[in-house]
Amino acid sequence: MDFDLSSEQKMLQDGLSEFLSKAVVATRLVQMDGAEVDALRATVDAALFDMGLAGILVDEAHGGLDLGLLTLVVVAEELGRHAAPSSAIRNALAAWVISSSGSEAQKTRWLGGLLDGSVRAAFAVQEGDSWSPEAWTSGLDGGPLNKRNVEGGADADLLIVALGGPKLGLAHGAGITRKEPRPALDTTRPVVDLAIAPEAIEELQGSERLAAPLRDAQLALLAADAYGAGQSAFDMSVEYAKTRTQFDRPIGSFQAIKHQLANMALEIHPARFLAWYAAHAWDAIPADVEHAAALAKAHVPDVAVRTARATVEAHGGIGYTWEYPLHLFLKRAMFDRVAWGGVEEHRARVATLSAW
Amino acid sequence: MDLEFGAAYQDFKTEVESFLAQHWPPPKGATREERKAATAGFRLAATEAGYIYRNVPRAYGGAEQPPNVIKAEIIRRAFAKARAPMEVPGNGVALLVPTLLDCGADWQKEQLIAPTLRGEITWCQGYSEPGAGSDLASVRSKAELVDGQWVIHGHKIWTTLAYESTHMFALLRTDPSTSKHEGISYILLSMKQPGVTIRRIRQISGQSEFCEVFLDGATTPADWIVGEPGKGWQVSRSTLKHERNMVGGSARTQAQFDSLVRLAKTTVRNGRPVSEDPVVRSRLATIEGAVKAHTYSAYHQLTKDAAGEPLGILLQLNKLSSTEILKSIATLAQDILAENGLHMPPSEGGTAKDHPELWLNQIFGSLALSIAGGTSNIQRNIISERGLGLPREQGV
Repeated sequence: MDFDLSSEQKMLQDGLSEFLSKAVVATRLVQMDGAEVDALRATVDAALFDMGLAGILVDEAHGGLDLGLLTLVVVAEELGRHAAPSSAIRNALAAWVISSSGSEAQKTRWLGGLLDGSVRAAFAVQEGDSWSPEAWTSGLDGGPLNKRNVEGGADADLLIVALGGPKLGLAHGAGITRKEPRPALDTTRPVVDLAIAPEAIEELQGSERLAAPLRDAQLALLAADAYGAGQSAFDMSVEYAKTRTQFDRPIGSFQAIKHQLANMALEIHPARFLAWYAAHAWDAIPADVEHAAALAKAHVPDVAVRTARATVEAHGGIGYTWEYPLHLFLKRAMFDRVAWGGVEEHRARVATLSAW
Repeated sequence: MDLEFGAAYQDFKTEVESFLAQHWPPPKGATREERKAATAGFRLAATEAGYIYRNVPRAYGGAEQPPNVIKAEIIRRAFAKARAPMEVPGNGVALLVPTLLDCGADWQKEQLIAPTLRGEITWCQGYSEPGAGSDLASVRSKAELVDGQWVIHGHKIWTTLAYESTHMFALLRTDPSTSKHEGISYILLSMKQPGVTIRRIRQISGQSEFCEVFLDGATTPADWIVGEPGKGWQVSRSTLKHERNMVGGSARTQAQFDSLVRLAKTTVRNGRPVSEDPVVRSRLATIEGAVKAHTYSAYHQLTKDAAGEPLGILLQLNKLSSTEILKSIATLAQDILAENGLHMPPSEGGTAKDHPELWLNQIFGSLALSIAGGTSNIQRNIISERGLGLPREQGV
């Protein structure tokens, strides 16, 4: 019985945390415009790709590290914890998709760039109001495919496109039309709507078997990211309660604040392990992965948003200002809650998968 | 990460399972008395084999095994699967024995532990008083040394199963000139004596496990004190620590959640199982998120404990986490029961199939958990002060 990160995973976590806490300064991040966030993302990515993190899910024969999803979940936790902009997770998943189902030509063309970061990937998934593979219907014999809310879509070099079947395809170059971008809720992860011409898409052979695992991996990673964001907001709130004084004493000495924080601790700390378990199931317990990923995605972002909202309340007025960076983590968790389907959608899936 | 116990433990698991296959259950059709004797015999064999009372020395009737949380978990699961009894339930084994091992005199360990493990001596906990609940250090019941024995006067309350207990371990004030934590002693006494009067308290569940105990000139020998006179508070802290570990287990929350799912699947409303109602399904999934997070937290703590690493705040979250989960289970159970919960359950017997209202025992029992063994609000103080490092409230 070993329900913990390995010593390598802990080292990775420590290293990332040390790097990100210097590279991503939340008080500066809140003041950045889109171009400055892009520049910060490039700085973060330079380090992450240098560490080979985009190859975490890729086998060694294809130049990856083959470490499994739990290791990538460690990366997602740290990115969430620091509200860091990065393409590394998207590239890691795209590299896994192509190394698992691409033709030799596709691998040759894309894998190296995805692993070293010179190619940036994005996932064009959502159709209408659904992210679910069961609802993917896009075909290649009609008009342009309308894909909504593509994270990283504004400057991606390569799109992984969800198709009916469910299958996956690749798209790049001309034939991709980007709609007018709107101000992003989470400024570190702007999304854009796309129209993709069918002739710009190459189908990935054998990608049918990747649709569900791709969804499950995304759910576990979003849960981990939400945990990181929620935990960060919580840690800020605890520190603030120790230093902010009112009535001549730290507000953290009042039971009202203490009990609020204790209630948050009760939810946010254990939530982490749902994401860990989902990732471990993805790596090692295939029979349990769909349920575990759905449960993690239903539960963790829900807890993270509730926690982050409560931390704003526990801060008081300062927490409601743009310049104080607490809202970065609230918005990060809100993004995680929505992407790839909401809380109720995944609770309904949990119920069905449990045969209730 | 690896949720299997690994090859190293496979032999041990097999050994436990074959022990159970050989020793449990007793033959079908055994009388109540025969079954009781068989249970006692089984516990002796399980102790001899090293499966229960693992941290108690052989000299005191225990199994004296080196600490190994993984083995302990394998044993717990195998016994649960075989529905075999583990240690004698109750305060004696869970609370007093660890306290005696930590702080007791040699003669106390030699004479009191073994019969407690066999269930021959049973213990109730004399802590709370009408004026000393969460503020336990304000106990006023007092013991005075007169002619070589303690003479005790006072009033204890919420004493679980006092009427079936042969003995009590109590916090009593032995130095009346002091207040609060100083001057309290940890004293043992017999419940079977004229100076002890028990009144059972009828609870909201209709049951009466909690009692008031009136101590009116009860006596106990001078050396029936654990630790130094006046140091009872420190002695009792080790007991509270054990109690928190005891009620934190995640096995109970998972088992109750599984029962809730069965209730939802077997209760029919408008011609359909309630489990088909989308709102009920969503609420079940919401609870399952908390149940599984709690379970994995326990796995993580098990891993840390086995590696000798500190458990941090997770340990302090365990009791409140269980309490809150059982509360959410109770809330949904009541909605599923609906009018089936408008009658109190039979006081004895009955099966869940014929008497769905037996769920009321869980519904009310989950409330008791928010009070007993440190209330939920005290847990929140512990989490925020010891876990998060927030300052103590001034003047407390």
